[in-house]
Amino acid sequence: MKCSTFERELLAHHQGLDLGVEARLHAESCKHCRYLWQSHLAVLHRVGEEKQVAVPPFLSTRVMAGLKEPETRVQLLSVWKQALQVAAVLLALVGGYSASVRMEERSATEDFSVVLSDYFLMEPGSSIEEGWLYSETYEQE
Amino acid sequence: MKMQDDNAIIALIRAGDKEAYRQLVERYQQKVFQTCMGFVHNEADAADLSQDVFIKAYEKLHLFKGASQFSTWLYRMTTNMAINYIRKRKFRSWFQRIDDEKNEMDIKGGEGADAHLLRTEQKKLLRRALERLTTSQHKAFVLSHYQDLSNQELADVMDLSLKAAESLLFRARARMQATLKQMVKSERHEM
Repeated sequence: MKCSTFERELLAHHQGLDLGVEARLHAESCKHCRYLWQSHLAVLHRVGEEKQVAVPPFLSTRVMAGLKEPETRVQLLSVWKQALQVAAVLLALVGGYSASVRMEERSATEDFSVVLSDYFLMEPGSSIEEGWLYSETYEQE
Repeated sequence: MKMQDDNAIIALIRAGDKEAYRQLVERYQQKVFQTCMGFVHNEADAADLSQDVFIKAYEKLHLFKGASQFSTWLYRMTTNMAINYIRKRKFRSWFQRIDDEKNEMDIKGGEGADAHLLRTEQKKLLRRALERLTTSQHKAFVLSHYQDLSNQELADVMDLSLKAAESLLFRARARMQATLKQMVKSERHEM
């Protein structure tokens, strides 16, 4: 038997105990496969031991003591809900305030741009002061 | 006392009978604990984890719609919580291993040195072999070998088809064997 055939058989018989005669004979002659088989059995043995460990006494008592009252959870949920609502209102207020500040800034920039456009769109060769001197508003005064 | 159906107990709990939950805990505590042992390999940690699982299951009971069995839902939660637990523990795993070995020495102080060495070696082998598995392979291996679930039950817990569950379990075993082979090889080289 080849080592690869032995490995396939070991995988097929995952409990490792019911290997065929041929595989057992191969393991006796091949050190590598024997070690592999032994380590396989060692792992399964350890799994078996861990499985046998009994649940500690009073686990159910510990669990029952650790349970929270459903009402408390509901109350906590509603507290969270209220906190979220308050946070949403605050956010809306802060957002509104910052938006109004921005709008003011933008309108101020617009005033400045009006002056600039007056300057650049006036008659060529004249200064802006002339524009103001001969404006209708000046004559009325 | 007549054994009540899981769904009947759940109905009682939903109606406000908190104490009815004890029946479910007592019914499934050994299985949940065994599953936790398959992930943490330490009795104290497995007990703590089992407690957390049952408390969380109680808190999330309103999410259990009854589409599957309660046990399936509980085992799914157990494996997910166990995976999260070992992920969190990974960064301190080195220290934990030392503690485990110390505990082992304390608890099994009465046994012979050879038996103790063998036990420690077996534990190391198992841990290393399991560490190399992917998360879903690890879950499949534990559910099958520690809980003795059938392939169909495994498929239900892992939300897979029967074929996919069988394939996953086969790949888990194959990978474990490959790891063991590698370890045997490297040990022989060292010798």
